Amino acid sequence: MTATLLEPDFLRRLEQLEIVSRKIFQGKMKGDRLSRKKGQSVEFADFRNYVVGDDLRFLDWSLLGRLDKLFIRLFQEEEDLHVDLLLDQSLSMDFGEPNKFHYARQVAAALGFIGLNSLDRVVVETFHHRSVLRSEPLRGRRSLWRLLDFLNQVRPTGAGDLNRAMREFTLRRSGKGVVILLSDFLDKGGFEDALRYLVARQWDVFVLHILSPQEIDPEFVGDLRLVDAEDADVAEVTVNAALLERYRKNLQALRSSLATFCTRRGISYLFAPTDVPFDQLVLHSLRQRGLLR
Amino acid sequence: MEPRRAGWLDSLRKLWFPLGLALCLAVLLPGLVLLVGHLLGVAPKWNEWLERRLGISFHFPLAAWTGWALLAAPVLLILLYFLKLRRQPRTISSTYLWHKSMEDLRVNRLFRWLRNNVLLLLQLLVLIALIFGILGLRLHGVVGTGRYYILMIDNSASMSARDSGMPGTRLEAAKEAALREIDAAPDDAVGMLIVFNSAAEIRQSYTSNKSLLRQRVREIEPTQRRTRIDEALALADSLANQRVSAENEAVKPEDVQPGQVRVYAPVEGIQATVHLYSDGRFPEPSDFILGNLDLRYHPIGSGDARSRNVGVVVFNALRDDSDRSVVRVFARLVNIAEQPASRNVELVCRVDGRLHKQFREPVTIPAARRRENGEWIPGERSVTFEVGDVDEDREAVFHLLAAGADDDLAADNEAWLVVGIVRKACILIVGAENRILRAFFDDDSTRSIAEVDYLSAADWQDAATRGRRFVEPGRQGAFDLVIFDRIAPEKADDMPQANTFFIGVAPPTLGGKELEPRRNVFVKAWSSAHPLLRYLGGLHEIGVGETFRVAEMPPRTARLLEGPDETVLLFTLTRGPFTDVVQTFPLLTQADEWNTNWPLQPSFPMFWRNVVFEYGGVRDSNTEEVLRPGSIWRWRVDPSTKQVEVTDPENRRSVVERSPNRPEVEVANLEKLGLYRIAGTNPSRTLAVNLLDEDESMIHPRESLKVGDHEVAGESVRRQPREIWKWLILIALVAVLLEWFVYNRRVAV
Repeated sequence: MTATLLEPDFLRRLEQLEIVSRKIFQGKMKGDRLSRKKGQSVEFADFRNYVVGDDLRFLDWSLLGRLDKLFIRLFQEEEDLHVDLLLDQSLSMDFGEPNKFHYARQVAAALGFIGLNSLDRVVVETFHHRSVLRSEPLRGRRSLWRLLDFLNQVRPTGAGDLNRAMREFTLRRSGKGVVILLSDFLDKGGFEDALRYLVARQWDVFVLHILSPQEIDPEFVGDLRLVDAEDADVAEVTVNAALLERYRKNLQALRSSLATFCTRRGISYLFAPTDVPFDQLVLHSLRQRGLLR
Repeated sequence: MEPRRAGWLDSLRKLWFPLGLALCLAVLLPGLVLLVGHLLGVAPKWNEWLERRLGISFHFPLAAWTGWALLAAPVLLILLYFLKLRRQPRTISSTYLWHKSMEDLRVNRLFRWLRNNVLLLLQLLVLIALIFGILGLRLHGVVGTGRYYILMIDNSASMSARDSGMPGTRLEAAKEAALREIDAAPDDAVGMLIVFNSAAEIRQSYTSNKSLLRQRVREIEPTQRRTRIDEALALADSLANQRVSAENEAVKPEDVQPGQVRVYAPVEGIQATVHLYSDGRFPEPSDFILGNLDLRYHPIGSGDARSRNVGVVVFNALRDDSDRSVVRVFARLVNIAEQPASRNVELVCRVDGRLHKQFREPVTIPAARRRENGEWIPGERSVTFEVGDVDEDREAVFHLLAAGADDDLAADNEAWLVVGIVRKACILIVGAENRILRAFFDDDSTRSIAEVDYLSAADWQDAATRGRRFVEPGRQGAFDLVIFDRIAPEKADDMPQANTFFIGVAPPTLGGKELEPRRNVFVKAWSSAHPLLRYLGGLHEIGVGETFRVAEMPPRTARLLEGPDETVLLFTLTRGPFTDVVQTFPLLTQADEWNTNWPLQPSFPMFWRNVVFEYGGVRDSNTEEVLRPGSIWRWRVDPSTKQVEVTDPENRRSVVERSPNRPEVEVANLEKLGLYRIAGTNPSRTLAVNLLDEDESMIHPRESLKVGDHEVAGESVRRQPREIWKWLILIALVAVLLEWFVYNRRVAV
C-alpha cells in the first residue's frame, strides 16, 4: 500500500523538507518550530521585568548584579504546527488518467509525511458534501503508517458540496494551522464561499487545484450524452470545435478566477494537472510556491 | 392577437423540419419506385404507361449495382441522421463546465438547430436530384412532330462473325452503334426498330421512348439465317412512302380541265432516316425505290484485308446410277482471305444412327481475288467423297466439318446431309387405258418414287368397285395424287382428299362453267415460274387437236399454259389444302388417237415428274429441299398422325401438332444449324438445316450498297462523347455522403 502512494526513495527525499507556515501558530505540544509565545526553549527572545510569581529560574542574574533590578529572561517557545489536509472525496475526483483522486492522495501522503517528519500535528480529512472521514491527529514519523492506512481506505464517493463541507470544517476546527485543500473545484455551487470560510479563520490556506488532462483538453467529439459522475446530471451536447473552444475558455476562466480569488485573500493557489509527475509537483512546484522548503 | 401570432410562429418553427422531411420523402418516393422498377426489369412496361399517361419516360444508363447503391443511399442517409440523434452516453467528472459552455453557445442555439437540419434536407434534395438525374427523366412531346428514324439491324448468320481486332461479334457492334444512335437522337425524335435476316420483323414500332427502343435493341439475338434486305426495306417503305392513291396529289393531272378541279390530298408519307447496321452481305435490291427514306449504311465489321473465313457453300450427295449403294458426296468450300487456307475436311457418315464411315482430306483453298471494281471473288475448292454400302432403304446422315483456327465465322464451317428414300407418292389413275401415261408411270425411274394404281373406266362405272377402290381410300386420304383421265367425279363432294390432275375433262369443282370446244390450238404462253413448268423449254411447240375453253375462269386461277383467244390449256384450282390441276386437252382422243404432240417433247416426262414430285409428296435425298435456318418444313403424314415430336440439334424436344383439316404437319422453328429429328412420322425423319450460303460466308463488309439506282456509301458508325456526367453525379453523391460523415465525426476538431 505504501508503495502505491509513496516510494521509499521518495520518502528519503521528503525528509529534507518541511511545511512552511507564513504565520506562526500555537500548538498544543512543543514542536520543532518557534512560536510567537515565549516559553521554554533555548532560543532567547527578550527580557521583561520580574513580577511576583515568575519562575525564579529565569531571572537574569547578570543584569541583577549590574543594574540591581530583577529581569526575567524570555525564550522563544518551540511549538508544533497543525496541518490539516482536506481531501476532496467526491466522485468527480475519480476521473482521468492519471486518476485525480489517486494523485490527490499521493500529494496528501507526501505532505502528511513531511508534516509528521517535522513533528507537526497532521490531520487528514476527506469530504464531499460534508466531512466524511477524519484521521486522528498524527504526529511523528512513526505515525506515517497510520496516515497511509487512512489514505488507502478512502474511496471516492458522493456528490460534492465544497461550501457546506468547508463550513462544517470551519465550525468544527479550532485553533490555528495550515490548511491544505486538494480538490478539482468542479463544484456547481462555486468555490468562493468555501474559501471565505477558511480565510476567515486566519489559517494559512493552500489550494491545490487538481485536474486531469482529459478535463483540460477533452478528446471526445460528436453527439454525446454527458452524464455527471456525481449527480447523474445529463448534458446532451454536440461536441464540435466551437463547443470545445468554449469549454476551454470556461475552464481557463475557472482557473483564473480561482487563482485571483486566492491571491487576493492570501491563499496560495497551485494548479496541479495530473499529467505533471507527482514527485515533480512536490519537490519543485510546491517548494517554488512556498508550501515546502 | 400578438400571443396567437407568436404561437403560430412557434408551431411553424417546430413543424417546419418534419414537414420539409415529409415533402422530401414524398418527392423521393417516385424516384425510388422507378429505380426499383428498373432493377426488377419492368422499366419498359412502366415507361410505356408513363409515356401514355404522363408523357414522361426514364432511362437508367448505369450498371445494376449502381442502381442498388442509389436505392440504398436515402435509407443510409436517414439512418445516419437517426444514428446522429442517438447520442452516445459518456460519464464525465462534472457537467459543470459543459453546461456553462452550452449556455454560452445557447445564444444562437436556434440557428444551430436550423443549420443542422437544413443540412439533412439539403442532402435529401441533392439525393433526389441525383436519382432523378440518373434516371434520365424526360418529357415527351407530341409524337409526329419530331424527326423519324428507323434502325435496321441485321442479325443474320454472318453477323455472328468475330472479326479480329473487335471485342465481340458483329451483331454486338451493330447493337452498340444503334444504341449510340438512339442516345444521339434528339428527345423529340421518333424511332423504330426493324430486325432482319431471311425475313424482317418490326421489333418496335415508332416510339419516342428511347428507353423502350434501347431495350428492344438489347434484346436482339443472333440467328443462323441468311440475309435478305428486301422485306426490311419494304417494311420501312410501307411507312415512309404511302402508296399512290387516286385521291392524292401524285395523280393530279397537269392540265386540269376547267370545272373538273378536284381537291387532291397531299402525298403523305413519313420522311425517315434509315440507319442500316449490317455487313452488307445480302443480294442488293435492284428494283427498290427509296423515296422518302434517307438510307444511311453503317458497315459493321473490320476491313477487307483482315477478314478470314472458310465456309462450306455446297454440300449434296448423289447415288451412283450403276450401284445405288454408293453415294457420292460433294462439297464446295470458299476462302475469302487474301491468303490460301488449309483445312482438314472431315466427313462422318452415320447410317441409322451408327458410325458407318469417316473420311479426312486435307485441302488447300486458294486465296480470294479482288476484281477491279472492288468485288471479291472467293477462292474455291471442291471435295468429293465416295461412300459405299449405303443401302437405299436406310437413312444415312453425313456431317462435313472444315474448321480452322483462323476463321471469323463458325456457322459455315460444317454442314449436314440426310440421304435415303423416305416416301413414295401414292397415285391412282382413273380412266380408260392410256398408253402414254402408262409408259411414263410404269417406267422404273417412276416406280422408284411412286406407287401407282389404276382404276379402269369399267371399274369406275361399277359403284361397288369405285367405292372400295376410290371413294373410301380417297376420303381417308390414302392417295397423294389422283389422275382423272377423261373421267371426272360428278359432284364436288366426290372429290378425294388428295391432289388431283384432270386430263381432258373439267373437274366438278369448276362449278359447271360453260366450256367452249376449241380445236387446233398451240401453246402461246406459259408460266415458267410455276413448279410444274420449272426448267421446261420448248413448250411453244406443243400443239393440241381438241380442247375446251372455260368461258369464265374462276378468279385468281393460276394459268400455266395458255393458247390463243384466252384459251387456258393448263391451270390449277385450289380446293382447301389440295390442288386440282386441269389440263383441258386429253392426251388421247376417244378414238385412242394422239390428241397432242406433247408426249413427243422432252418436256413431257419432265413435266410429269414435276407433277409427281410436287403433288405426290415424294421426298428423297435428291429432291429434299435445302433447309436453312428459318425455313418451314412441311410433311404429309397419315391421317391418324395428330402430332410429331421434334428434337433439335441441342436435344431439346418439342411437339408440333398437325393443323385440323390439313394433311401435313408444319415444323417452323428450324432456327439452329444441325440435325433435327422428327418422331411420329412413319418412318421417322431426320432433317438437316444448313447455312450453305455464299453471301453469308463472304463476310467482307460491303463498303457501299446499291439500292435500286441509288448508291449508298458506308458511313462510319456515329461516335459521341462518353456520358461522363453520370459518373460525375455519382462522385457528387459520394462526396455528399462523405461530407455528412465528416460533419458528424467532426474530424476538423
